[in-house]
Amino acid sequence: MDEFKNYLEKYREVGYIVSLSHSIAYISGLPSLKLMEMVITESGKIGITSGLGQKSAEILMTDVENLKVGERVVKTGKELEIRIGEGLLGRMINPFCQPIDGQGPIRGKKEYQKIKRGALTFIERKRINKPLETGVTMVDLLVPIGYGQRELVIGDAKTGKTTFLLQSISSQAKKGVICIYVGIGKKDTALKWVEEYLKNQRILDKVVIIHTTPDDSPTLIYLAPYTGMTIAEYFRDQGKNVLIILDDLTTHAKVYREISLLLKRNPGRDSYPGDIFHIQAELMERAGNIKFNGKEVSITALPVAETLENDLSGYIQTNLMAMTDGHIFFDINEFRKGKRPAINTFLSVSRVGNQTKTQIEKNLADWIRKKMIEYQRAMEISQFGAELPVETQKTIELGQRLEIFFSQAPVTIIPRELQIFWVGLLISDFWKDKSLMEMKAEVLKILKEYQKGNLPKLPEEIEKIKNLEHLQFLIKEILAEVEKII
Amino acid sequence: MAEIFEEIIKKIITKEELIFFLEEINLLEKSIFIDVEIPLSEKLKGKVNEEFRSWLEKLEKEKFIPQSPDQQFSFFEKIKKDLLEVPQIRLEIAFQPSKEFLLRIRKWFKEEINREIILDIVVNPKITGGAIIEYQGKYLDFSLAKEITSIYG
Repeated sequence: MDEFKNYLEKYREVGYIVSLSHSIAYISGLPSLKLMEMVITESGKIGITSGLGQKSAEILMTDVENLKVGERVVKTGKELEIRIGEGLLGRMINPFCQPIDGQGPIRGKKEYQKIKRGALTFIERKRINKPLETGVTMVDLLVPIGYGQRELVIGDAKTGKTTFLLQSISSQAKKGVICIYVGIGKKDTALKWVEEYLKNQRILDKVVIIHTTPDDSPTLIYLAPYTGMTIAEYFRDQGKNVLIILDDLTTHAKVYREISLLLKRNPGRDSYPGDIFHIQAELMERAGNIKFNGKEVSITALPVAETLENDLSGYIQTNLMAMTDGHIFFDINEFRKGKRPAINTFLSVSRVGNQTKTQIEKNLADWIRKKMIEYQRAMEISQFGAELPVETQKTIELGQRLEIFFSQAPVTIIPRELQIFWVGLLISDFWKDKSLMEMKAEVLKILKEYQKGNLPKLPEEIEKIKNLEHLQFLIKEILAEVEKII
Repeated sequence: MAEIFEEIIKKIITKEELIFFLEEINLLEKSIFIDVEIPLSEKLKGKVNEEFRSWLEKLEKEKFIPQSPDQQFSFFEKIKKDLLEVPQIRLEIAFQPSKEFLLRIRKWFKEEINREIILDIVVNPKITGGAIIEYQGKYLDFSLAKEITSIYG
């Protein structure tokens, strides 16, 4: 109420709600109101000006509970701003940065930031040149991501997208990267699971969770990714690398469609408004790699898109593919076959990730991709039931061995050096005379021992490797040590 | 038409009076298409305010009201539309104003802004004295309560 009075005194303008339609309020008065300006009602509800007519203005209300026609409204003279500070880390908040986790107020120094800002200019941007480890072998080896990249995570519901995203958060948070998870219209249970996962991994204090549920006002859900990006920019401007997850932008598009239809905007394809590409591309453009105080800092964005029965040709899905630097495709068919993570590497793309990789990683990826294609072809032939030539049997066996590396539990994070080392062991015929089961057990044993602190020089040694021959040489050197631990 | 409108607006000072007048017109519009041969002022006897009825009678005598029911309907719709377009000034004062006071206020506003206005009077003793004026979204607080608060905090 005090805030209302202060703004009334400051601007000496008042408006009245003349009608309400879902989350849209039409107001009269306020002659100098501007587009995107924030307004406050007498009962303290916040709205954003989305349209100006001759007799009334359209306001997107963030809360319409108990709002009445005839209620007074004042202008604030500013665009929607949120208060950001270090205290947001480890907290679950709404798009206004208000805590919703029952842990009390956000502490520490805070500063106001506009939630809708322009993207970085071309000159400010730097080439993406550092690899971002997700801790998921299949992605890190075959669809690599770099710091500052925008990589779409696309797939049907319940195919393990969120699990992969949480693995990426876990891997990055442990390296000191600030992670932001934006749940766009997600159910409470889904967000609770995310929170639990992060708590169990002991990284919650490095993550900000922005939570909106389907019950929230469409305006609030629509604003969630912008808030996430603004928080990401705040931490980036402090010289920290940030990873932001936008889960998911298809829901965001649907919410924006709902708002636009209520605002009587002309519907376009699939009833989405004409500016749907613009509003999401504008958001994606805010991510990237920049030079800040002589140091390269980045916002890496992993937006999520949901498909229906593997249909990648949907309107929003193709839009998102066009505005990102590649996509990781979670295939429902692979998921049904029991593959975890259910990533279809043949249909996944990373346009800038490869430039962050070393020569050895590129060579390994080429070798794996070639072997996987051969394996897939051999598997198709094997379906005819005929007796297979020895060469084909070998191809299938190698493919199956590679799949052991790629099969990964939701809580397992595999470091980059270990991913390369495993493939090195396979190339060096380390498991030549062992069964698949034995190999699987040994792979897990190596991982367990590595996590315990065995093979301490491995990261350093892997860093020095230039080509495949060099890798095989290193394997020979530390083979005895490996055999000892397994 | 302008002549009629001027006459009406002279009678209406406040928003309450405007609402009352519009309700009378609504009632009149409902009876337009019933017993079309009987004059409107006759049909509305006892149904509307006597002042409104005698004004209607006067309009009929001076042949301002069209003959056909459709034209009559459009005629009164136009009056309603014009009245709703008259700007309203919301005036928050601390006491119940007299008719003379309202007329003086309206005269002053008319001279200042050079157009007809309707006063939306809100009585709020909390403002102590003075007035709060709202016009087309502009808000000006000339209340005594504000002065007192600014002096004593």
